[in-house]
Amino acid sequence: MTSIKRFAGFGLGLRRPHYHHFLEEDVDLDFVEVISENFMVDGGKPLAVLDAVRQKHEVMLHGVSLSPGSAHGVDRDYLDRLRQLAERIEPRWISDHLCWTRSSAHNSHDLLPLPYTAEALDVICANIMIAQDHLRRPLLLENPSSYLCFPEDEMTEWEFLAEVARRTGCYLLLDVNNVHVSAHNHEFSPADYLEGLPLERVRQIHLAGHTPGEIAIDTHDRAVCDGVWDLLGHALARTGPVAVMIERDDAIPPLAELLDELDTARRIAATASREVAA
Amino acid sequence: MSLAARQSQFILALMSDDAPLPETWQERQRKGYEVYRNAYRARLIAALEETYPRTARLVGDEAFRAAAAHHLITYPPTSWTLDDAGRGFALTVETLFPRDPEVAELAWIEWAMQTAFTTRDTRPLDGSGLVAATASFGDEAWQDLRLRFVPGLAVRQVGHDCMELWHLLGDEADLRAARALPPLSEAQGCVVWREGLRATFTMIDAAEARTLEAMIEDASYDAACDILIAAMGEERALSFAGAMLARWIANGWVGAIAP
Repeated sequence: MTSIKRFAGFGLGLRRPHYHHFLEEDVDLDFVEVISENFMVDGGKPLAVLDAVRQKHEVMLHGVSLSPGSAHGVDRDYLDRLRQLAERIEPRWISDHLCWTRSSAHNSHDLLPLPYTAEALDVICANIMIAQDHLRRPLLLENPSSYLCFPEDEMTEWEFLAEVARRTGCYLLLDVNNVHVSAHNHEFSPADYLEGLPLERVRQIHLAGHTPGEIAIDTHDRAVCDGVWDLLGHALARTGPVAVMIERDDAIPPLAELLDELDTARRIAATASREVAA
Repeated sequence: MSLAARQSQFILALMSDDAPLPETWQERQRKGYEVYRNAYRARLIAALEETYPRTARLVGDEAFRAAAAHHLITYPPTSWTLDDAGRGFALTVETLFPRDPEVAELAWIEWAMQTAFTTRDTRPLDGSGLVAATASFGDEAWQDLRLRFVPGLAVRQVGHDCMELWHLLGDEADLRAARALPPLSEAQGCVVWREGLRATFTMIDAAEARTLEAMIEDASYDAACDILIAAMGEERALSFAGAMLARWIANGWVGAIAP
């Protein structure tokens, strides 16, 4: 299976309120990320927009419905659709989440948590291998935000994720907001999380805002908080330059506001780069 | 318990407050689980609100959310795409609002438009294409003519002026007028299709709608003309049929002449 080369740059999630900017202007970005499922359609405007944006920008496909942790296996129809989209768009890479979304009968349309057990590890590795074979490329797997840990857990999330990467050859999409949220919810150290991952396999970093509380929730509806910016600096000092982007899915502000926020990421990346060089 | 059994239990409990949670779970797990349970319902109801904005305005937010929750309990999502969560909602509201058939008519239009919006791209048959395809036709070939329609084209009978209803429920909605709209004196047809990259719809004569439905189901032009004759008499039907075919071609509804 091919490897995924490093790609350092700054991007945003492509969202409907900003389509006209991307179609009519030269937006100063290195890449855009799209939700794969929104474009896994037969035709019409979504694909026309994506084709046009692809003429100007690198595109990453980011999925939410692969359900690699599903004990009932992966959906071949879904994989066929995803491969068709990938053949059309030629994304730099395809990513999804360390989660499951469906049982044999129903789909939750949510990123549900896995127990970190040997059985779940076997299941997700088998599914990822099937998906990678079908898509003819390695995937990037993202750490999720989670709101409960299972009593039967046999390892930490970072140990589980590291083992998935080792067994399947997949790469990692490190969401530092999700690390921050889950660290708060499950009372672990974000530094321990980063130290436990094979950071040389990280190809992309996600940033987002969350709703704080007794249980912090990954809402993608506000600006990135200071704790997440700090974690970005720590992560980049260890991963080296990789693709960095901001996700905003609700209360979407004007594009200019997100581009300003992305400048903060650029400054933090530059500082991390100087620290590594020193 | 196997992972498969745990996942079935987890997802069933998302859908029902009465479904049991694992006995080994402490308060901490139960609180965390509530986040997933709330998110499941909120996300799916929001998806239906996005697909059916005008239906929601017509019945009001509270009634719409109750109808959406009923639909999701009756038909829990099975597809990988969230867009499918609203499939069949027109039938659900037909049951829930039996005295207000315009609710189901509007929901049908919104679903058909969402479907047409992302349907396969094709180039409709134009007038010159029709002339070329039928240049050698004799009477028998015309009688046996069958059409292939563009993907996403949908038709049904409606009892209300859906064009007016659509307008009244737009961004500057006039809810009072929309809810007071009287039924049509005679049923009409409503046709949804994609025009370029935009989904749209129009109202047509009821007999024309029945004819279109029949031809979508592979009826011949001759059989279609019989429907018109029964509805309007032979003399008027024959001139109507020619104009009707020209209209379908002009609207971009016809994809090809069947081989």
